Amino acid sequence: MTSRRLEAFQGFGFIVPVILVLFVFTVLPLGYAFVLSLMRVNQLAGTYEFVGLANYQLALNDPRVHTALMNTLRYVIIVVPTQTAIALIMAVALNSGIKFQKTFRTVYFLPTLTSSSALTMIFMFLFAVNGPANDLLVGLGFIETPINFVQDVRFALNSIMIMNIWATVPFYMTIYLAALQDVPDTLYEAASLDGANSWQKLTKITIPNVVPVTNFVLLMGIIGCFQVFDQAFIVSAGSGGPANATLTFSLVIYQYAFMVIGTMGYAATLAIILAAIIFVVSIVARKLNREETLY
Amino acid sequence: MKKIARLITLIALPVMLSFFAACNDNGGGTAASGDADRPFAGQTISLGLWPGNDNEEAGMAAAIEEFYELTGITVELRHYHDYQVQLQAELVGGIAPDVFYMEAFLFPSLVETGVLYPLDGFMGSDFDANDFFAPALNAFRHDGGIYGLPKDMSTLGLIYNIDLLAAAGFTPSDIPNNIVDFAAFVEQVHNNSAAGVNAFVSSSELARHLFLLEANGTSVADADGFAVLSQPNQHPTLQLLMDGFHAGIVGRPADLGYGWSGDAMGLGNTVFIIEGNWVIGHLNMNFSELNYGTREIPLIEGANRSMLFTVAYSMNSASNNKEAAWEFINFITGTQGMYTWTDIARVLPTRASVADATGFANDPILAPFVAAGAYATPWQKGETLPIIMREYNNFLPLVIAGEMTIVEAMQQAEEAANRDIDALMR
Amino acid sequence: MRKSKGWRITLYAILITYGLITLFPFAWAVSASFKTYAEIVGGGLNLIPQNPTLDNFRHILFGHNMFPRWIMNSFIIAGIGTIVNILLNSMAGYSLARLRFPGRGIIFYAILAAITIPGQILLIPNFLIMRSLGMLDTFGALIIPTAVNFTYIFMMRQFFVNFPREVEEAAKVDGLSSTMTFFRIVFPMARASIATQGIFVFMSFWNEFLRPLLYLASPQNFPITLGLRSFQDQNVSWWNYIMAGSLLSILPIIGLYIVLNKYFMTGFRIGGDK
Repeated sequence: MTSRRLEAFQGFGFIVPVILVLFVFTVLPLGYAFVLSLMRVNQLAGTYEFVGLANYQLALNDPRVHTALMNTLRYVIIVVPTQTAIALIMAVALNSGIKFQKTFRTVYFLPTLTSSSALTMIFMFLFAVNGPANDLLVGLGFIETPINFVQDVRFALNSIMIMNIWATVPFYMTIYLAALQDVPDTLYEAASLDGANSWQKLTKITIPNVVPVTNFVLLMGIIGCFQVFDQAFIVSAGSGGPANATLTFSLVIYQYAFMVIGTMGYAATLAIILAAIIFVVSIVARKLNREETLY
Repeated sequence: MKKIARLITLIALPVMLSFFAACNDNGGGTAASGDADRPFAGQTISLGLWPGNDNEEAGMAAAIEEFYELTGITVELRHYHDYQVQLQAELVGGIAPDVFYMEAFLFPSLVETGVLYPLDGFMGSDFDANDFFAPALNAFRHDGGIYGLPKDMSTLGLIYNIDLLAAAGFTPSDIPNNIVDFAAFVEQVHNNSAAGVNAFVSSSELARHLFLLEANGTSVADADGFAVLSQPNQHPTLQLLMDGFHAGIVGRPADLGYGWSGDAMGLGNTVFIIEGNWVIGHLNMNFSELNYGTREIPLIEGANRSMLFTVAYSMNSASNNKEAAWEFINFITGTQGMYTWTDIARVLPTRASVADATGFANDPILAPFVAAGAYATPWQKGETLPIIMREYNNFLPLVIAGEMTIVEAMQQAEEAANRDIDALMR
Repeated sequence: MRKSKGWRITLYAILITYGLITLFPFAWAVSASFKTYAEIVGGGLNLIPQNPTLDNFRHILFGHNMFPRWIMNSFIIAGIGTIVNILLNSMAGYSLARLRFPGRGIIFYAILAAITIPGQILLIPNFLIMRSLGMLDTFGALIIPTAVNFTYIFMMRQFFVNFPREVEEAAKVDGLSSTMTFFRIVFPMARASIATQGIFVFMSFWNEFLRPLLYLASPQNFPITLGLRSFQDQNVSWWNYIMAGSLLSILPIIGLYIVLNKYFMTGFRIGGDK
């Protein structure tokens, strides 16, 4: 065997388990979902009626789907850059040779362990009409009367965004930290000799060297935000209210898949549309944030 | 040799596994070794339910034990932690249990599909259907057949904090017994109460408002299942409630930082709530010092009204053990089984005779909730209710915030719901 | 590296402020597990229980005889799952980042696409597949479909793309095959990223809720997440039990974190001092 063929053989061998799992537990069910998306389905009654692309046509003209898409896009555009920036900044700060580094790391890691029900509950306390957030804002004179953050059409989605950023930053920060370990110290030393300041080191050395991981963080952020469901579901008890303010795409899918019986076909249609949107956005984002491919 | 042995194992193993799986699917029923008195002794049936609190778990265990003594049938429990998703998956997969909890709200969607087995055929001429509170039993009727017997029920009642009422200069006997006067009374209580005390805390969603909307006889769903929410005669009592919100007299639990009204009551932060009887156990357990009383909701449009939430035992159409399954349903919703279950679990029986036997019907705190069983509106309105509920809950906050009138918001809710119902369910 | 004093103060101010923001919810949840229900819902954000009680823990540990069993189930599922994942994800990530073989591009995009699919829609189809494989109500149903995790394959690929090539080339000169290079050289050197992956994979197994919910039926097979859900009934959430149960259930993760902590900070550094 030539070394080329050997490499191909090993490369393929390394990934065979992934292909198997991918096929059985993703491709097969996805194919099934796609078939459902072409039907009107009541799985319980066992009625499957082929309707072609009617569900897709319906989705394109469904005002609730439009609202959900706009809400979701707004969510992605605000949350993804914010959480990525905070995660990177905190990781760099942690990695800059400070004292008590281990302590800080552990403290920052703990929120990823806090149960989501506890987070939601604290959040509800914090942002209640008579809660500390309002006390503070009123006390400082930013607002005159307390705001009903979670129930007010203007603030509901923003409140969920804050909750999300708060909960996910530690995860991405931990990943950035691991990546920063791999940036060779020699690069920083050379830069110091050239008289570079901290900001220059950050922009000229750190950020370019973690581009692949930034790609990962951005893409996972995009995917996670496009699929945002938990917080919207909890805050609106599943309705997407008030007045569709927290209606996200995943919430709409869930409503048709599980809250109403007999609309599974439409749910499948929406899921496939969402997956397509996320995939396209991911590819575009990847291209924009050029990764040196090293192939 | 070794290779051949391994090959055989490779081929034989899946076959064996599928054989075992098939055995499991049958899940008993074959080993019938009954006698004349107990024809199904030795059989096993499966029961799908969600886990309850400690009292409910104890009540269920005791009832199942009694049933086993009586019939020799073993009941195997399967727990649902996300009832709607799990039950749907099991029914689609053909592995749902013989008997399962059937929420009234979900009932119309399921019975339409044929997955529930009608129980009328099992009921002998001596079956006393009239002992059940009519609204509870009727929630499980479909096309003239009965597809579930209600295990217990919850109704809404008025709960008041006696100390806070006294602080405002009133006694419980001052509470008026019709909703219009009651609204004015709540305002007085509000004016007389200390700052930080709420006169009335109310969760605002369709599950709590359905009976208000229908008080003048207009259903929220028409004969074809389309939403009807914007008719003026649906709104008088709702308007009173919304006026209360706008005047700052009524608050939602979430606005005040509470998970639900029961916590606001328990913490002594509200004089009145309208809640289900599940709040009683909660108050007694977690807020034992609270001095509170209960009564029926004041008359609305001249009549007693409330909401009724109920769950039945239904039989799986695909069950292989229908006879034994019926034995269980008949026992646990019969006078003996229901007594054991409700007495230990402290939940409201759906049989009037059991409500008397447990003493709940005469218990000063529980009696108003039992009484409502006779007249309350079940939380069940056909298969389109999930969509109607979704849009009602979606748009009502705009009315509470004062951004829309009831009619404006309800027209939008109605339109959104009906667009969906028309496109997907008709 | 030299830094001005002002810069340092700013840095610590940021670190400490952010630390307080992130620590608070956790501290609150810990203190809540020692509070009564009434104090949790009525006590707002105070961190020190007025009447500290161990009743919540007592109720969970001794009131529910299944609790130790559920913890053990979670350990078995998460433990096996994590070991398998670390191995398979790292191999796949390395293969995608470094090894050339036909179809690599397609597989990479297929993995990316797989992450984009909203999971809810795969629930029922996967349930049907599990049923026909005869895996319902077994641990296999929880481990096999997630024996690999597309997110972490992607993460490992991104790490390996950045990995210094010189080492592998040196190994090649020494006559090691790619497989040997990976297991002998690359795998041990990527400790930081592998430890990161390990803790996250373990957590995702440990916190898994939806799949056990659908695939398991018998209470004796439940992992701890399903067990904790018992404290939320139709109308009331027993916050005191939920908080205490959550605290108990994250102790193993904290333990694992402490064990792995030294790996987090000792990644490979080429040419630098350790």
